[in-house]
Amino acid sequence: MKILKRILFYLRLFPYFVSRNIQSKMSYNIDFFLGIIANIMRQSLGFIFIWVLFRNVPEIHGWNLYQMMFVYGMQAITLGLDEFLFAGTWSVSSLIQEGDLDRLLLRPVGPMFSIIASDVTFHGLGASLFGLVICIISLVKLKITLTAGMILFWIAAIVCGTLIYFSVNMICATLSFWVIDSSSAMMLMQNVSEFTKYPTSIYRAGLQILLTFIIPYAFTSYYPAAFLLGVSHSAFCWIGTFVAAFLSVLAAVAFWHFGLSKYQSAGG
Amino acid sequence: MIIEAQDLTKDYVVKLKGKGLKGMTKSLFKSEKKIVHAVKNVDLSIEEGELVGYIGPNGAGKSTTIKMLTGILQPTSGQIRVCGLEPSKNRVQNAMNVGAVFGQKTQLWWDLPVRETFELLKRMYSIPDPVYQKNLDDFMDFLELESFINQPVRQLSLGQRMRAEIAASLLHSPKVLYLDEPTIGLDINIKLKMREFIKKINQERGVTVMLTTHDLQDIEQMARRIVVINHGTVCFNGTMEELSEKYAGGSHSISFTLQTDVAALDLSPGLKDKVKVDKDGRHVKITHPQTVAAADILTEIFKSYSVSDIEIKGPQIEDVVMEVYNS
Repeated sequence: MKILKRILFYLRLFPYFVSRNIQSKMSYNIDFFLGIIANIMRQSLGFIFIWVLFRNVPEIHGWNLYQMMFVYGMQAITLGLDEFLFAGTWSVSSLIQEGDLDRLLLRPVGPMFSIIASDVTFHGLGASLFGLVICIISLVKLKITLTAGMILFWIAAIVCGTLIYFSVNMICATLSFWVIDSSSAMMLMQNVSEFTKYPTSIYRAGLQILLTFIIPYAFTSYYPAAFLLGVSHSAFCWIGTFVAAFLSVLAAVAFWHFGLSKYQSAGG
Repeated sequence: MIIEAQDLTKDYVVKLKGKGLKGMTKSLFKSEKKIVHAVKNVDLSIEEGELVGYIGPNGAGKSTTIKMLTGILQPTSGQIRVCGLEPSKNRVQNAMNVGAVFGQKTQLWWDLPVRETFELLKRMYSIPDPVYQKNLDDFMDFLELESFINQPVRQLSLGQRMRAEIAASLLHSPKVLYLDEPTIGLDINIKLKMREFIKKINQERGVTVMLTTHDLQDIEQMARRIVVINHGTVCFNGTMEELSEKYAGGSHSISFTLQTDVAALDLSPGLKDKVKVDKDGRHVKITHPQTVAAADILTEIFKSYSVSDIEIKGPQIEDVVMEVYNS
């Protein structure tokens, strides 16, 4: 009951926080449209590569163009949502190094909430929108009609995927409690996420293990896609998605709290 | 006790960077660490409604203590209880009980107008409408916020910002208020206004105030008790009078300018041992503890010399504090 009340409190506070932050960004309007367009263009360019590739080969590792499209689309949706909702993780490094985290720690709301609510980037929605279109085209072309249950799983998988991206980013950002600049680690992870545009099964075993068990990015696109498209019927695909998301969030939260206990602030 | 700390210790880990390219490469792989003891075994207990001045030289550990009491920093060891809670473990609940102002760093949202900031705080702290309205009215009135309440924080002058900061810290009617150098860089008018306001909320609302400052007039005019910290340890805890008694800097002094040279000046044996005499040309300064009556010294000097000027000084807090810092 107490937890429920707390969640409601945060849900009510979030839009207010976000609207204040948007208000404080002066160049917001131009930024908004340019960002979304740039994002859609970036995604489209990447997609042209796949499209050209499949003009020459009918399938790769048993995946045809339209199945590939779905994986690509899933990655765009989840990564886009992560950018939309959790761009605040990128500011953690400077908050810690400059001692500005003090300000957040003085408030009766969790610092992680303040960080998340401090930066909502609408650019990410461009990528998500693009991804959604790609996924729907894929489903139509493959003549797959999703059952209500499958649609629910799809939505859940999108939530899980977004949380996985967030958690990995948060873990990297938390490193700032010990190193000066953790953004290079975050950049590295962003590059790793590129792998999830394509089915994980096309990679070597080492990379597959890395993307499944160590940095579980494969669960943001490949595993749920394989399950939704009926490429794999293994329960690992769907149970794994939930477990990976749960464990990632758990690890991120635990590591963050450990980092907070080591916080040194700045100045006298 | 509303604030209680026992054996409070905070160590910082400082990574030492090597010198030059060679040292830098070396520290990339294995950096040398140094432990800095910012606060060592500090005991504090503050009763509800007190106004305590917490002073010490730069780097003494004042801010670190305040940051531990607010829950920003986790102590390396020791116990803290603020309103019965351990701040770093119950940060959210503790935040509801306390307010804080850091003179060196804004707690407000840089780009938001002051009024929006207050509204945001109202929601964060779930402040009931009547409480919010009353507090806002009170503070607006006393701190004269009206003229700049619709301006973004980044456009405010320091004096305006500090008034907004202190109002913001009190909107949720906290029981405890921490002020870390609240008067730093302020002009004398604003300073007086701030002091008056702090005293007022302490007396009228019973808010317990803990205040750090380098401006000893803040202390003289507001604090009933002072705690002095140096090198991370508390070296004095008591009232201003006790501080003056304990340290020689707290003694009184009389300076005379005589019409003749004072090289030959000599006091009667009974007095000579109890006072300190500094002679310089026609000037003489006699420093004496409170136990020696100024009248005795005056009579003796007047008896044998013609005096052209006199200056009598009570204990100088600057001198006292300097002595404490250096001891």
